[in-house]
Amino acid sequence: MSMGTTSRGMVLLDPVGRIPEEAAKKLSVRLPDLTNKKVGFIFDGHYMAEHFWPAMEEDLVKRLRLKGKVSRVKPNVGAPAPQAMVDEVAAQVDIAVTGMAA
Amino acid sequence: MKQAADRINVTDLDAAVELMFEKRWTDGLPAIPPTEAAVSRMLSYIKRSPDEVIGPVPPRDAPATIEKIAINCVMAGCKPEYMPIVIAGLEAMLAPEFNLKGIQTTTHCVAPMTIVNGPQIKDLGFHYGDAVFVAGARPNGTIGRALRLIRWNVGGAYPGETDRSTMGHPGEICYCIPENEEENPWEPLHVEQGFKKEQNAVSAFGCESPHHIMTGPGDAHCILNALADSMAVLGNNNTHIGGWMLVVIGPRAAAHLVKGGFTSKKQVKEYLFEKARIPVAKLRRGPGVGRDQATDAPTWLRWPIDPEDDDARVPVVRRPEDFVIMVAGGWGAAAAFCAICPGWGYMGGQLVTRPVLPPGQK
Repeated sequence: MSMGTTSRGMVLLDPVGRIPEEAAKKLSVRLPDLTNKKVGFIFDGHYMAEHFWPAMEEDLVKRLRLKGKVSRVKPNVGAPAPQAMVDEVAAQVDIAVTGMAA
Repeated sequence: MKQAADRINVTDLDAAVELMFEKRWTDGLPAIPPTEAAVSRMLSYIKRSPDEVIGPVPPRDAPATIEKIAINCVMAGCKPEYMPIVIAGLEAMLAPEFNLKGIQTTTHCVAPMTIVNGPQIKDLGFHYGDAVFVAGARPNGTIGRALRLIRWNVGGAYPGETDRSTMGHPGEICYCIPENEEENPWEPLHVEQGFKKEQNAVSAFGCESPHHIMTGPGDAHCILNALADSMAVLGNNNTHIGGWMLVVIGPRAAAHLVKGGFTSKKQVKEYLFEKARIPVAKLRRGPGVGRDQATDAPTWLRWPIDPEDDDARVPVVRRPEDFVIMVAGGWGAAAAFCAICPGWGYMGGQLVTRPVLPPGQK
């Protein structure tokens, strides 16, 4: 029979990509308390948030009583941060905030 | 041959077509049912392990296995011998410098175009003449379609969800053209990228829809002036933030350019670089997208000009080599015709070329 049809009908293969279960469930570590923790910020650099983002950084440090911060701006607004930048920030902080703003 | 994809039983062809719509396996156009037999034919041809991963396809970042690629190739209507081209096209799109994640999710209307070079153009019967952008032959249509379905089904870029493109463009559903190497008086695109002319290669380029340009009956400078003037406009990302731009030159225009002394693509690029510029006074009236973090100034001012000089002119790309030039399309009649495809800007979509490998090789 044409188109792969049999007397029992047709069997189709699913074209959708699936994330392996173990990868999908992997969550980053959650800290129980942020007091006196050092935070890293990686800003995408989008001009729509260039005033908002620094203000947000200052506000979070103050409101959450953080010990300090490390701020970086991605070189390319539309691409993921370079791994070297991620590693450099991660080596200095307890938590990190990344975000897109458009 | 071991296949891992989930299987779904349907009663007949009509049910299969409806199921593909219901399960959102296609973006609004019908598809060929990916039966076990058809997928097996693809896998038998390609001679690679079904579970081999080419890479994660963003934004879902699900792995594009050889099996998933084969399934989507069947749905697109590909012949098995097209599959090596689809794999190479996907590899080009997954290169970090292409930034497919950004392209799949941006609010801009950029879409990945696939450009085919080498003997495979003739061997497989690609169409590179009149109306080249509307396919016109099975390899153009189905290879472009397969890559779209992979980005849809494996990458999971759904409009209004992770695909935030405000307008999109029709090329998104099938955007694959070969170069007309036969009538290209210069180096083919893949040769410029370091491949041999007799090698098969595929390039990916992120761009808007093609903008048709009537370039006149023959004078070389008129042809390039028409192209340059069409490029230097407010509103395309190149004007505001640089990046790369594709110029598709019709064979007649290419012949006239050579006759007029433009005997290399380099000369064409350098001329366009000088002419495709936009005055500061005009830029000031535009959207001003892209601002320098340090100075708060629009990024076009990074170009070394006096920002107070209204007549100073900013080029639409920041280096001559950021123009990508290829030859394709029809000859024309009273006039020669070309097309420009503005890019996404410096964020991504730059030309990436990969070799097309024979079955069994990786």
